[in-house]
Amino acid sequence: MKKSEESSYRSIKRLIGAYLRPYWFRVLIVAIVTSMSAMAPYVFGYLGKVMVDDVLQLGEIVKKTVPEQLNLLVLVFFAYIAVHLLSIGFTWFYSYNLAYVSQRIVYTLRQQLHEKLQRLQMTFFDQRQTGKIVARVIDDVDVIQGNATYTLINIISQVALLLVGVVILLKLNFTLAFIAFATLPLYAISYQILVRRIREINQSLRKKNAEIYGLLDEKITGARVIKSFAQEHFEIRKFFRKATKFIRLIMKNVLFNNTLSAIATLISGVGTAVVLWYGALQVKTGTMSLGSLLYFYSSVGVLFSPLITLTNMNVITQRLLTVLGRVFSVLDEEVTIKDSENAVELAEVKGAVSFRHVWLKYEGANEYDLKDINFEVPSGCTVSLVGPSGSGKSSLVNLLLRLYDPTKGDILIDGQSTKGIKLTSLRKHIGMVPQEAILFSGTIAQNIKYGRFNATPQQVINAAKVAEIHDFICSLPEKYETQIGERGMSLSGGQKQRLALAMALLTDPTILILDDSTSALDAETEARLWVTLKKIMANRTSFVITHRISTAMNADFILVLDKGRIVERGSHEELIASSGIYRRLFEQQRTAA
Amino acid sequence: MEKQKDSFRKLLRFTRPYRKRILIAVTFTGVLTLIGLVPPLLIKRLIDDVVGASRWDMLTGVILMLIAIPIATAGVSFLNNFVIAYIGQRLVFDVRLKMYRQLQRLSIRFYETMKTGKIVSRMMSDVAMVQNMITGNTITMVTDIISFCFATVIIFSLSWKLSVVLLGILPLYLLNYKFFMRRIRRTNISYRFEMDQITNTLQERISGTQLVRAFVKERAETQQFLAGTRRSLNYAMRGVIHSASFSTASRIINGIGSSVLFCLGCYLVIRGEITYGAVTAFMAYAQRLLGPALRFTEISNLIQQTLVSADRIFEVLDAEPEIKEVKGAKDLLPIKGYVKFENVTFAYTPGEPVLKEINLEIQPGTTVALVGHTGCGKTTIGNLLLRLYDPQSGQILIDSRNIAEVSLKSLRGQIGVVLQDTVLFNTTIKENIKYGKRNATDQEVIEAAKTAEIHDFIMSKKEGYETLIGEGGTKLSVGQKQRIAIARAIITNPGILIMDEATSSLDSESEALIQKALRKVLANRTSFVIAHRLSTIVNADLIIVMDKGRIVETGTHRELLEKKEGFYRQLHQQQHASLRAA
Ligand SMILES: Nc1ncnc2c1ncn2[C@@H]1O[C@H](COP(=O)(O)OP(=O)(O)OP(=O)(O)O)[C@@H](O)[C@H]1O
Ligand SMILES: Nc1ncnc2c1ncn2[C@@H]1O[C@H](COP(=O)(O)OP(=O)(O)OP(=O)(O)O)[C@@H](O)[C@H]1O
Ligand SMILES: [Mg+2]
Ligand SMILES: [Mg+2]
Repeated sequence: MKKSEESSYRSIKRLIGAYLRPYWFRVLIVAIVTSMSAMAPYVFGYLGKVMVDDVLQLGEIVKKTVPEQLNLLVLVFFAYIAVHLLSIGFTWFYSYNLAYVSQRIVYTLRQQLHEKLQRLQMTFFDQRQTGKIVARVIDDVDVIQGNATYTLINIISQVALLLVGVVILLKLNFTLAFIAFATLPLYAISYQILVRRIREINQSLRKKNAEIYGLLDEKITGARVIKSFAQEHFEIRKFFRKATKFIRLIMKNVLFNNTLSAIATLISGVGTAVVLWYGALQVKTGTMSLGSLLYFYSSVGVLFSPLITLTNMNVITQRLLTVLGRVFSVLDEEVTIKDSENAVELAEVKGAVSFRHVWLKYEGANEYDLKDINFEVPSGCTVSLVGPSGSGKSSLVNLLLRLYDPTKGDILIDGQSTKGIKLTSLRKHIGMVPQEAILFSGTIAQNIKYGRFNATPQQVINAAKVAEIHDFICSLPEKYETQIGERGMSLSGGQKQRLALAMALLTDPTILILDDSTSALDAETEARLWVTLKKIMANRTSFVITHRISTAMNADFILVLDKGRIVERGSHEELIASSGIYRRLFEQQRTAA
Repeated sequence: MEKQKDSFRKLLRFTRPYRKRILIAVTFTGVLTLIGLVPPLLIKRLIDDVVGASRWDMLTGVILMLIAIPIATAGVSFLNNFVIAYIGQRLVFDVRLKMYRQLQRLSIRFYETMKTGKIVSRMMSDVAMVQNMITGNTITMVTDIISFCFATVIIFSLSWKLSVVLLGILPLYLLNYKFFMRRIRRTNISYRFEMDQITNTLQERISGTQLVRAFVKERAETQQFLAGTRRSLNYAMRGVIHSASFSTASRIINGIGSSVLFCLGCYLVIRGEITYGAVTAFMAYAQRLLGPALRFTEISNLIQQTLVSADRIFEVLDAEPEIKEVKGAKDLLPIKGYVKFENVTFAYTPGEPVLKEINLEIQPGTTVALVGHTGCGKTTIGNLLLRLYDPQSGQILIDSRNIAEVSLKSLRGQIGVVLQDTVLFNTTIKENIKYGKRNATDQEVIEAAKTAEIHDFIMSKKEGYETLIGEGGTKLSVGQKQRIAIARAIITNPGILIMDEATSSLDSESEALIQKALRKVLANRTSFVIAHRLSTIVNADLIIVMDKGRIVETGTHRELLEKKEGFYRQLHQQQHASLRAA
């Protein structure tokens, strides 16, 4: 409890210090103006009193003549109009400025979040669900937009309203004021009792809500699996359980909030009635004028309203705090893979790559996933990586791109440690086709051009031709403008793979990485593909991960990985001359023929 | 319009189980509104009679009533709010559950046409919107109608002169309202649209973050995102300006109007026409007349908006599953494994057939290999066998029964499948393997994992079978994911197994081991193996060679190799030419 309070305090401080500060002057003026315009009801109350006591002279001996009364009436009328117009002007001013400030803050927050997400390492994403990350950037920031500045300003103005109200009541009638205040502790106590539960429920509600979003997301993308395994009923039951829990929580929330507002109605209603009763008796004895009583009565009403507003505000504040905490936790996430201070830009890369005793251990792993990886690739060479599934081939090439950083050891490009190279410049020189094709919804052309957005149509076609996908694209009615659906849903496995390949080829990288990029292709297409690929790879350093010996054997040299270690290395001829894994694989694939 | 009326009616159908409760809520609300109309009259009494006419004997009565009213209000509204919330939440629950059920019924094609984000927003925001309308606004409407009618009667009885002035001001309000609301709504719609766009893109880019990094598109993505954000904020700001102007204008009308009314009232008091108490009561009732009047103009728009949401909900609820069970579909008996395709023709998009006149007959226990160029329709054959799609013409029989006539659960439940794109769920390895068979024992899970050659790897993990694999299995290598998918497919002990490139990311050694193990587990079972790697298929009993959606050759490995100009022979030579040469 203590700790969470402390962190709430820190969140608020940060919101004010880092995000509101640039607008402090505006915010200050807005706070003043808001408080002023919040006072309008008191002024109207006062004008009402003037009307009753001085203009109409109710309950008193009439002193003024009718023309006098009328003159005063006209005066009061203009006062009314003036106060109205003033308060309206103020309101316009603050609603505009408040919105302006919150939009600016939202913009800054979204920008920082997005930039942060682009810098965070892959391990961050490995551990989280996409839907939840998206919710932080969109929904959570929306909550901040709707409430942050508003809450702050409102608290200030409501407190001002409360204080001024207290002073007015005390000035009008001491005893009456005390009767009115006597109800406040009652309210505070019931509030204190309920508010903790409400806060807890609110938090779990938000969590459950996010879970439902996550569940929907996963089950909709996985619809094919659900259907293929005929698990629809199971999924429905699961959803039913989640939704039931959710509805129970909501009803609990409604119950508590309802109780609180019932208590508020009760206390304020009974309180004002008692005030009226006692006040009326005072009017009877002549210690108070009717106008003052009505003024007092309306002021009590105004006084109770900040109490209710502040209570509701507390719920909002709680939500705001939760959300702020979550947003800040993303912003505070440590970026482990980043440019070092004196990172250099690589204008030109020859493409010599060397791994120096590289070790890698993923979070939560027992053992090293890569062990003492040590090799050199002269520029322009083609290296094949072969080995059983899970031996660390993909991990190895991911290290080259610095998607992950090695636990130990160093990776050099042209003799320069990759840690000393600017990330953008490093990755620009490397083209990678990931093992599982990643495609975005949009047209074929948009996807191919993803890495090089200003490519000419001819360049796009050339890349597609090299990737052996051009003919297929041309067979489609809309050719390059065909929509491929979410994740390329309307393409076959091999078509997706070739599209991903075209995407990488279009960027014309010095170092090319193909992570099992032809596994979904038939031998004929693959053979045709390799004819052109070989030409393209002639003067580039390339890493080719494959399970097919027929593909691996063309490399300048081959690395065989097993359980994270390089167990064999050499050319095809050298490796089949020895008796290791490679030779076994070779024999197996040959005899299969 | 007809369609919208229709969806409104269908929407109301959801409220049917709660009719009684709704009636209670409406009654409560009516009572509350009536009670709420009393206090101004009491205050009037207090001013005019108690103080004004010095009827101090009435004081206690008035005060007691003023005390009783909040007590009654608190009690009744406590109950009422609870009932209303209950109805609203149950409605949401019912509609969401129904939608989710429907989603489970709908065919794959539906998911291809509607994006994930869209479906989610229909289930979440649109349902919330409708609920808001039904509970929130129906209740307000009841209150409004009652307030409006009573307030009108009361103000006329208080002072007809003031009432006439008030009615004169009323149109100003409405005009102002109409003028701004349209603009506000338009910017709101643009804002939502922009946000939807941003959210969808963000979602995709985050799940494909690896690609974004590899192509150094971080800055470009952020810029695009910010451009969208800026656009959306511009709309938001415009919305704020519109609504601030709207409320300013209506405050001006209200401020001037009420000043005029009040002072006019007081003038009448001086003239002795009415009492001051009547003026205060009049002012209080005037507000209760104006509020509803404003909301009435809004009602048609609100209904319109709700109907849009309702339409979108029914877009899901009314979507006809393309694949339906026929009436009285019987369960498929335990599969023996005789499969027959008769003249099957199929197209994903009409007019572009992907499979043409497929004829196939497969005896029980056969291992069938499907080979052919990428995109020739192999995966599609599997999709049809699972009845994820229905062929345009021709039929598919299993054990001589048309699969279109048996229950889907019995069909799919008996076919094990390893999909070409491995989809795993974000839970433990064990839960993933057990997916097709909830009640599988740990021993069965281990057996399946062993067959799929993944047991050793799982045991090498700290938490073994309880290891969490991350979203879509990100924490595993691709080959490991494939093997878990294999274990998941065979644990159900399926009558027919479809393996679509199930071992494409495995080395040939593990592949051979898996095949050997599978052969034992799946003895006498029909299986379809789709693979490009010939080593995967040479041992098949029957090889089906496909090209451009047609079957071009069938036979065993040997038979096919003997065909001089054969398609298969070509493929084979291609793949092995290089290896031979070595
Ligand atoms: N993001 C990750 N987090 C944790 N562990 C991981 C992650 N990615 C891979 N691993 C583990 O690291 C090991 C090596 O995985 P890697 O993907 O490099 O294998 P691979 O050789 O590419 O295999 P495959 O041929 O199946 O693609 C595996 O045991 C895998 O479970
Ligand atoms: N959902 C879909 N909507 C529209 N077209 C599709 C869809 N799925 C596949 N296709 C098209 O149908 C054809 C056959 O696809 P299919 O997935 O059956 O090929 P495949 O033989 O499995 O190929 P691969 O070996 O590359 O996996 C392809 O041209 C593909 O583009
Ligand atoms: Mg890999
Ligand atoms: Mg396929």
